[in-house]
This record gives sequence, C-alpha cells and structure tokens, in this order.
Amino acid sequence: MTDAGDPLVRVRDLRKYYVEGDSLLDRLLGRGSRSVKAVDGVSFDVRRGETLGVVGESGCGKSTTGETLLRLREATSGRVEFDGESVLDMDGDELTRFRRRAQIVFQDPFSSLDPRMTIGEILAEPLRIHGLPEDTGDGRSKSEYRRDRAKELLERVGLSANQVDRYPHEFSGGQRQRIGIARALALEPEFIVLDEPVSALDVSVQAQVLNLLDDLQEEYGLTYLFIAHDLSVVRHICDRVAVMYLGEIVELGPTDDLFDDPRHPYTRALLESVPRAKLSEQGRRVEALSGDVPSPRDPPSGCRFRTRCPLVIPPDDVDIDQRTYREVMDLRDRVESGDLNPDAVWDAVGDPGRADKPAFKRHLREELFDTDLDGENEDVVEKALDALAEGDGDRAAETLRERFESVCETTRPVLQERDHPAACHLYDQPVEPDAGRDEAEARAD
Amino acid sequence: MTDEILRVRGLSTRFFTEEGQVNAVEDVSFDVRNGEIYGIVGESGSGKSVTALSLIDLVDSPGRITAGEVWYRNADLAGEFRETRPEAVDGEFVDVRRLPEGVRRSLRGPAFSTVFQDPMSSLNPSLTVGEQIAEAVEVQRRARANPRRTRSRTQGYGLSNLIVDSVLPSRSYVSEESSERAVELLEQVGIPDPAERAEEYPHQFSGGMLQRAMIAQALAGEPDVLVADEPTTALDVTIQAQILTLLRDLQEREGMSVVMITHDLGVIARMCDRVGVMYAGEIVESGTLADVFENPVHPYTRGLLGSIPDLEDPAPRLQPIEGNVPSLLDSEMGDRCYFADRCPMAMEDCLTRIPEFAVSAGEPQGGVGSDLDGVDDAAGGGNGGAERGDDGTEHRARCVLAEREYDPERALPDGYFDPESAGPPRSADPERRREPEVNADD
Ligand code: SF4
Ligand code: SF4
Repeated sequence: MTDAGDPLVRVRDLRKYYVEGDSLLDRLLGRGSRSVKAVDGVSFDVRRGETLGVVGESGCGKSTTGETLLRLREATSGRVEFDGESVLDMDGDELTRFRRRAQIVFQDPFSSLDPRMTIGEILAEPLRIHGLPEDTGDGRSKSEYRRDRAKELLERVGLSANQVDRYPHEFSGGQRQRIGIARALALEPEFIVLDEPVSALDVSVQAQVLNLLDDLQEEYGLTYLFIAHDLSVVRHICDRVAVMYLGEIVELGPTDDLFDDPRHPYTRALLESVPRAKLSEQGRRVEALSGDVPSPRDPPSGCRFRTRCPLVIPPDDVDIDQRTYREVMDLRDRVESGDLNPDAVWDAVGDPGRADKPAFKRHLREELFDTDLDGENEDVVEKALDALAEGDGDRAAETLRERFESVCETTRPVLQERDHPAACHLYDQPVEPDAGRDEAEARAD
Repeated sequence: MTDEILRVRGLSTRFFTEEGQVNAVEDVSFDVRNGEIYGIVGESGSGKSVTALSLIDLVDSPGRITAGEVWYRNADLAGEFRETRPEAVDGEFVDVRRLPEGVRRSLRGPAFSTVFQDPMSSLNPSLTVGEQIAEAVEVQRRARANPRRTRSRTQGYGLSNLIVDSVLPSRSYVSEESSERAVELLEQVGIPDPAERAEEYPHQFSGGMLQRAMIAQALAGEPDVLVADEPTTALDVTIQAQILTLLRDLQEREGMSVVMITHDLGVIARMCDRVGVMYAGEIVESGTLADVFENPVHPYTRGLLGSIPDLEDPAPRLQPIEGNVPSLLDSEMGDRCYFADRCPMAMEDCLTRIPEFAVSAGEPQGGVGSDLDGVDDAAGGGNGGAERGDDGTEHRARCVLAEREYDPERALPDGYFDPESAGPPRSADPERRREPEVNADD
C-alpha cells in the first residue's frame, strides 16, 4: 500500500445536521425543531490505494460521514474533493462520472438487493444506468455483454457464473454480501465506501469476505473507506484509522500506532472494552466507561467525551484525586442537566417535609461518591449540596462550576497537524483554539 | 461430581415447518455447575438460542422439544415428587420436563430466569419499568406463598396481554413492599436515581439501561440459574463492557449459575469457566476455556478461532472456514458428521454420525473406542446421575480426531460434497440411527 500516496479523497470540515421535530405531530405538540449534529466538522484524507477505517459506536456519525461524502445525503457544509475536484459542487455529467468512480457496499445484504431481480439483472443494472457499454466492439449485443460481465463479476467474488439467473433469496448472507460487492465493482470504481460490510455476517463467513476485500483491493488498486464498529476487524483490514465520537473524529493514525499507542481516552476505553477471544481474557475486569453517549441533539460543550472521560482535567489550582474529580464532574453534570431531582431524593430519604437536610446530603453523597473529599473541595461540595437541599439548583451549579470548571468543558480540543493526532487537552493543543472557544462561550450564554 | 445445578441430557428440539422438519437442537448434553458461568457459543443456525428456550421450556409452536431431560438440583422438589413421580427424581435432582406443567411454570423466576438480546421482548411498553419489576417481585412472593399458580403478565408478553394490561390498572396488583424491592433491584443493577427511573417507561431508557432493567426483572425471583441469550449483542462495546461487568458482579454476589449464550468468542473468554461450541444443532466440542481455546480438537472450533481477527496481533490473512452455515432441514442434513462438507480434514470415517468422544490428554490415539457404529453413548440413558465420559475428562468433541490422527490416505477427495459432483446423496437415509422421538409433553 502506498504510504506516501497522495489523497484520492480529501474531506474538510464536513458537517451534516438533521432538523428534527419538524413533523406535524411535533408542531401540534408545540415542540420546537432542533438540529441533530450527526457529523460535526470532520476532516481527513483517504490516500490512493489505502484502506482508511472509520470506527465508532452507534450514533457517532460514521455511516453518515460515508454517505454524505458520496453525496447520498446532502452535506450541511464542508468540502469534499475527489481526485482534486469538488464533489459537493458537481452536477450533471461530472456527478455521473463521480458516481461511476465511487461506490458503496452496505451492511445489510438482505435489504440492499432487490428481491425481484435476478443476480444477473442486479449486476447489469449499474452498467445499464450508466449507458454502458457504449459499444461492445465484438458483435455481442449490449445485454449479452452485460450478462457476460455479470458472470465475470460473480466468478471474481467467489460465486459461480451459473448462478446468474438465481434470485437473492436463494443465497446465504455471506453470498449476498459477495453479490453486493460484485455490484459495487461493476463500474470498475477506484473508491469504495464499505459501510459495515461484514457486521451482519457470522465470523466464519466474515473472514471469507474480509479476505475477498483484501484480494480485490490488491488486484484493482482500490481505495477503501471502511466503516465499522468492530475494532478487531478494523485492525485487521485498515492502514489508517479514524475514531469517531458524537459526530467528531477524536483520533486518527496509522493502524498499528493507534492500536499499540492509543492516545485519546475514548480510544483507550474502546480498546479496553473489546473482549478478546483468547484464554488470557478469562476473568479480565474491564474499567468500563460509565454512562451513556450523550444525545447529539445537545452535545456537551468543549470536549464531547468529557461527560464520561476518566481523565477529565481538573483546573491547575485544584488539588484533587482523578477519580474524585470524575465524581464531582458527574454531580455537576446531573445538577446542570436537571437530571438530579431533589424531590426524588427527599422521597428516598423519606422526608417529604424537607426538614432533615443532613439526611438529604448523606443520601446524595452515598449515591454519588465512592471516594473521599477533603479540604476546600469538600467545603465547596458541601455548599453545593446545601444549595440543593434548599432547592436552589442554580446556586449549586454555580458553586461547583466556580471551583471545578475544566478546560475540557470550556475549550473544544482539536486534532493536531501530525501523523497521529488526538483531539484531547492531554496532548498539546494550538494556543488559540479559536473555533472551540467561541462555540463554548456561545453555549454558556 | 455433585456440584452441578443442572444436568442437561440428550435434549432435542425440532420445528415442524411447511418446508419440513428442522432439527434445531440435536441431542445436546451439558452440565452447569453451581456458581459457574457456562458458555454456549455458535453462529447463526447453530441452535444455541433454541437450546436456551428449551432449557426454560419456552419453545413455541411449530417447535417442540422432542427428547431429553433437564435435571435440576432441588432437594425439596425431589423430596416432594419422589413418591408420586419416581421417574422424575434422581437423588437431589428432578427432571424438570417430567414435572407437572404447573410446577414447571412455577420454576420460572425462582429457579430459571432469562435475559434476552432485545429487552423489549420482556418489557411491556405500556407499564413503567418499576411496575413491571415490582410485578415480577410480586409474582415470586405469591409463588412462594402459594406455589405454582401464578404467572407474571410480562412473561411471554403478547397482544392479549397488552389488551388486558390496558384495561386493568396494574398498581393495585403490586404491594408497596414489592415496589420498594423493585427500586432496590434497579439500584443493584446500577441504574442511577432508581426511584425516579422506576417511574419511567421503557422507551425512556437507553439500550444499556433497558438491559439493566431486564436483568433487574430477571433477578426478582432470585433465580438459581440465569439464562442469558446474547445479552450484549445489540449493545455498543463500551456499554457491553458495563453489562458484562454487571453480570459477573451479580453472579458472584448472588452465587447464581449463568448459562451465557453468544456468538462472540470474546465474550465467552471473558466470562465463562467452561464452554460448549455448537454447530448445526449439536455441541461439537466442550470443555474448560483452556481446553477449547488452547487445545481445540474439532476442526470447526479451530476454524472459528482462526476466523477471528486478533486485536493485539493481527495476522496478515485470516483463515476462514469455507462454505456456508448448514441447512438444518432434516431432509437435507445427511447421515454423517454435519461439518464434513466444510471440514478440511474430512475422511471416510466421517460419513457416519459421530458420537461425542472424550479427548485424550496426550497424542490422539487410534484404536481405542473406534467403533463409530454405536449410537451416542455419552448422553446416558434416562439417568440424571450419569457421569459424562467414563474417564473423567470433560474435554469432549464430536469428531473422529478426538480419537485418532488425521489420515490423509483416507481423506475425502476435493469437491466430494459439491452438488454437481458425484458425491453421496444428501437426502435422509431411512435407516438413520436416531434416538426415538419422545413427545415431550407426555
Ligand atoms: S479533552 Fe479532557 S475530557 Fe476530553 S478526552 Fe481529553 S482529557 Fe478527556
Ligand atoms: S468428524 Fe471428520 S468431518 Fe467431522 S469435524 Fe471431525 S474430521 Fe471433520
């Protein structure tokens, strides 16, 4: 694989927002519409002949990224260049040409093939749509040519030419995925977006398809964008990997570097979480990330991972144990988001009269803190709990923020200009991270 | 060996469909020990999930358990039925399948409980999470007071239940005590603000939280055996890690036994003490984690392990298993080792049905026990006390290679099983040696 290969695809600050809450029901219920930031400013190159992996959990925006850069969805903003040309500005012939050169294979081999068409028809269709061949040159009719091409493609993906008249339902999942790949190859593309191409397959069959993808890349010099959630598969097949979280790329690097020396705390947590199919895995206790991925409707300010990050950075002048700081930040999150409902706490302590403040505070401490606070940290938390007991959530939030506000929430970290960047304040960040700062401030208003 | 909680013997489950008889589970035998996590791993169509359903007696029409015993250790029940149903009792064990229907049902909850891949299959969308868990608690409470009469409304939740539930207010059904216990259970499974979350409906929960709620529901009866069928498959990897940790903690704290059913060998490796590998309805290899991961004998097990990309040490090329997941249609299965058509080491010897062999510790030896004509002798005959294997080893495989070395001389020619080639007929042999089918409901 060409390491120093020039980029075939360049993506810059690509965004895809959806407007949600725009349905009739929403309007009847008086719900305001809001945007969901599915992809929020991603930038990367895909170099000629390489496989770039995009990995992340559901809702991180990886599939939307693939579909948006192919123009299967309209981008909100940003720039995509394919072989030097701006994809988002293409129309007419230019766009048709691009669609020949860039293809996609979807995850679900069951729904992506039309059940009423034979395999031969499915494989001939892209040629037909593009009016190919212009001239067979050998006396064959165009449809004969397409049928022969379909047979050729079938053989190439490990099926048999005499299956050309069968229907999709006659094939197993793995075979259908081979057909999906054959269809993507029909127009001899240079670039293929593989969107979870093996996720629906059993491992024994998955391995066959991965080997096939490897062979095809070698044979036709293909460039792949490989979208997946399975880190083992990504490690196996990719040359470089981008890790996404909540619409952003948080780390990007050569595969071995990224897996052997993961930098972003999220990447580390992901790798830590994967169960290895090895004896040494037995009984391994994983430091699991706590909580769920926040909603992309209202992503956290600053670093989007900060609500779960075990390494969230305390202010310089606050001396606090890392785990304790995480607990304080969780308390803050719950106070600020309104998740923490004082009524429920009073109920739980069995004092609806709200007189026994010490009991109220004890209850919260027991629920929220495994570690011990001391000194100033203890005083501030105590003050905040007092405010909560008095029913003043805003003051509690303010008290806590004053002391514990982290750079991770005020400033959005960015990817550095280097081979293996990580968008995290633990790694040197540009001195003036202007964009991030502005956004954080705007949100605080 | 008396520390088992469960001894499954010769379990077979068939589905009688329009296309024909599907042999989903075929003569499956395994033990689950007290306080262990027993893993069952397999790909789609391996029969692992039907095995789970069969264990807890939840196989629905057109499926039916056609043979086998599920011996459950419960001295009280054994005492109760020793006189009236001697055939259902063996020492401290009872064969759940031979107990009266009402008793069998009353065991769901306090004896066996389940967690599925999709929480919505066991949670009712129109009741709050707290109500449903409280209800499960209530059912168990009443069951203890008045055994084998009650049944949770959320078990096998269906349309009729939905109608009933929307008509009948459910709160009246649940005591204050049960509601409190529900909140406790939610707390135990790591749901923050449990009292408040108990008031919410399932759709207000995230996937991971729903899974926790379902686990809380399953724990309501303080089960001896928790059957977890792909409990983390629908979850993202970081949430999966949370749930696996939770399951392990609960298992240790409550001293439960868990049957963990999954397609993911990584989950098996992290969680399980012993494991059975399923293929085409059979357990083809079983043993300790070390047996199966370090010394796999069955070519399918080896193939599976070779198919998984290694996260830490990627190989340049994977070693897949050729071919596809097999058909389980009785008429297409053939009277041979079911893996033979994909097996790189298939020999002439493999063209008969292969029993389960104990894997010999050292070199595979020829000769001993090489009589392949016998029916499966490992499953014991109706005796729950039967020991697995005569030589004490628990590493077993349904493969001739457990007993003898691969002999290239006897290898089947390439393409032997291709439909186009002059291979053997694949249709069923009328003389197949199968155990007679027993109507499970007799
Ligand atoms: S920027 Fe802060 S919160 Fe974000 S990953 Fe880095 S340390 Fe964690
Ligand atoms: S019995 Fe024969 S065909 Fe079956 S798995 Fe063993 S070696 Fe392969």
